[in-house]
Amino acid sequence: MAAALTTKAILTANDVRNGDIVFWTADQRWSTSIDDAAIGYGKDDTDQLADAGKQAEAANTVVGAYLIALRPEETTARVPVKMREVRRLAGPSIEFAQAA
Amino acid sequence: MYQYDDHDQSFVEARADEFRNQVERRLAGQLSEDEFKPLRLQNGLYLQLHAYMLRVAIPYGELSSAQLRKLGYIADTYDKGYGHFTTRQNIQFNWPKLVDTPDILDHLAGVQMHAIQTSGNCIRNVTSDPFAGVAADEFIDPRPISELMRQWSMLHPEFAFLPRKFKFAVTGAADDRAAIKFHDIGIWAKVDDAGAPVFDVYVGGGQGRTPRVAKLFESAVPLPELMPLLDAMLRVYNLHGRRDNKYKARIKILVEELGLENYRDEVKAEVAGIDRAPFATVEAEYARIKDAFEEGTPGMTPGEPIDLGAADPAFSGWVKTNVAAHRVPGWAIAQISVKPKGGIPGDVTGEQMRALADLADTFSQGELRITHRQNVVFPYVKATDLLALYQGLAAVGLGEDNIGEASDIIACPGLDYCALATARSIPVAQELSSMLRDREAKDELGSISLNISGCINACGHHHAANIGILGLNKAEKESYQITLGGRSDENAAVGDILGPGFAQADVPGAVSKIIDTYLDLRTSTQERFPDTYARVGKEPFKEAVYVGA
Repeated sequence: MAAALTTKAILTANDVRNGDIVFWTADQRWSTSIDDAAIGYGKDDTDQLADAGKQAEAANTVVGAYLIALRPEETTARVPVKMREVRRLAGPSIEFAQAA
Repeated sequence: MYQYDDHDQSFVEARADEFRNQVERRLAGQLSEDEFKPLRLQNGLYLQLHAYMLRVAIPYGELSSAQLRKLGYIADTYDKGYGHFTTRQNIQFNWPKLVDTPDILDHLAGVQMHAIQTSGNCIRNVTSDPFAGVAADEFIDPRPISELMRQWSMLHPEFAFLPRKFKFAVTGAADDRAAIKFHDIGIWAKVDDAGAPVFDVYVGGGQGRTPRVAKLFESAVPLPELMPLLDAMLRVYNLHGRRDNKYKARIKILVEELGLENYRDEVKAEVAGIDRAPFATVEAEYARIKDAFEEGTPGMTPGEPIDLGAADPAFSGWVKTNVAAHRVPGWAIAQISVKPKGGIPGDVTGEQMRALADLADTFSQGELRITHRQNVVFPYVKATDLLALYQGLAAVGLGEDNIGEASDIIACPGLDYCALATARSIPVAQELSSMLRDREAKDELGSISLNISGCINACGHHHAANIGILGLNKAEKESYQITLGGRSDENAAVGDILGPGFAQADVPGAVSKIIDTYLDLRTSTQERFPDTYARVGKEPFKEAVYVGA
């Protein structure tokens, strides 16, 4: 469940059907592109994002909705504060499987 | 190998049907995630860092070629073309879609496979010696008791919601290749003077944030007493295990807090009052399972020893590291390394799975084993077939000659996949593998275990390695702590922390200095790393790594 953050954040989750990482957009839909993610600034914004996550979970469209805190000093890029989120957004840092 | 009977087959099919219904209700919005989560976890379906992950059970690591071929089909059809062998001898797929999992479970059921109890606070997949039934140093085949325990633990109504997950391992050989002393309960099967099976039972081992070597609970337990004893051990744990704190919920903590003697007294009292009726068939069922394994074992006519690889240095090197002694003269146990230079430990493509299945049909009577070191074993290879097998393996990138060497690295998925990880494991393993393969080509390093975990949960078994590496998050940066002196064999030990952690880029240099120190200090090439470490202690290694760094 998404907990509100008071600084700068985006809302993420996984698509129920296929597990894809998705982001909540400004036009009230889920996108697989972080570039589409709506950024919340301050408590009111992030509370709204958190509510959107709760509603989407209740509607069974996504699973595991939560807010990702972004680095406030980044004015254009969406760069998470936490290493875990940086890794999650980047995807595996390795080639899949072996080179035969 | 053991074949499921009609009851088992109908059970896995019914379970797949049941999960299909649960998924349909989830997708229709009739089940919330809170309601669905325990159901998916009981069928091995996790939600990981990027996607769903499905963990498929491989009981005691034994697979048929048909099963592996099916796993390859699943990898190619429903995932991204590969699977990952785990340290519990299972396989996991990193990218399945929820909508596809009912079909995947149907495919698995079609080859007598499933994903039941690969997650959750229940009894997990029973692991065993990958050389079971064919090892030259074996007292008794551990598979019949492992299978009996699988049947006993499967959907056991009392043990479906334990305080925490519960792991058994069983071996029946002089050398412990199943790491039994790092399990909640470890069982060492032997035979008594009359040739009857008896079992040494160890309890309270494990890794994670509180690594412990299991303690001997009771020696030489006869077969009729073993299952009531295990039932009682689980009951006492179920009653007293810490459900208030998941970090203190494993049986190792209970045994430590109660004291082994008090725990033993409680178990004995439980055994004394236990209803024996459910165990009345244990001996007959054990005999039936044992017969089933023996019927499934191919005839092996003893052959003459042959000169292996004298004419081919590459083959000779592979035989030296990858071939183990078989109980039948003229036959061999071939170990296939899934650790190519710079590769991802335990990852196998669908194409490689099919190639391994074909090679197993040709050279190993259609049977394979998955090891807890994330490799593959062919248990029934004629010595005269080894060269052709090696050539077949090399053709699909599986001819690496490094079993048991430092580059035969265990690594968990780490922060490249795992939602719990605190640092990446795989890139560290890849870099070390490249460095170590180069060193192994010119130095005689001998047998060294090197394991990497991406968090304190220790799925990469770093505590049990001669050289262990633990990835941590230090102020939002990956930091790698090194432990030395661990081992998972019959002389099991937890590694000692060497000192402060390293940045990822500095790990290979530190490991190289540790190996240099070992080479300098060992008394001969016969003195293995943990023996040198036990003799000289941590200080020389610490000095080499940190002084002047």
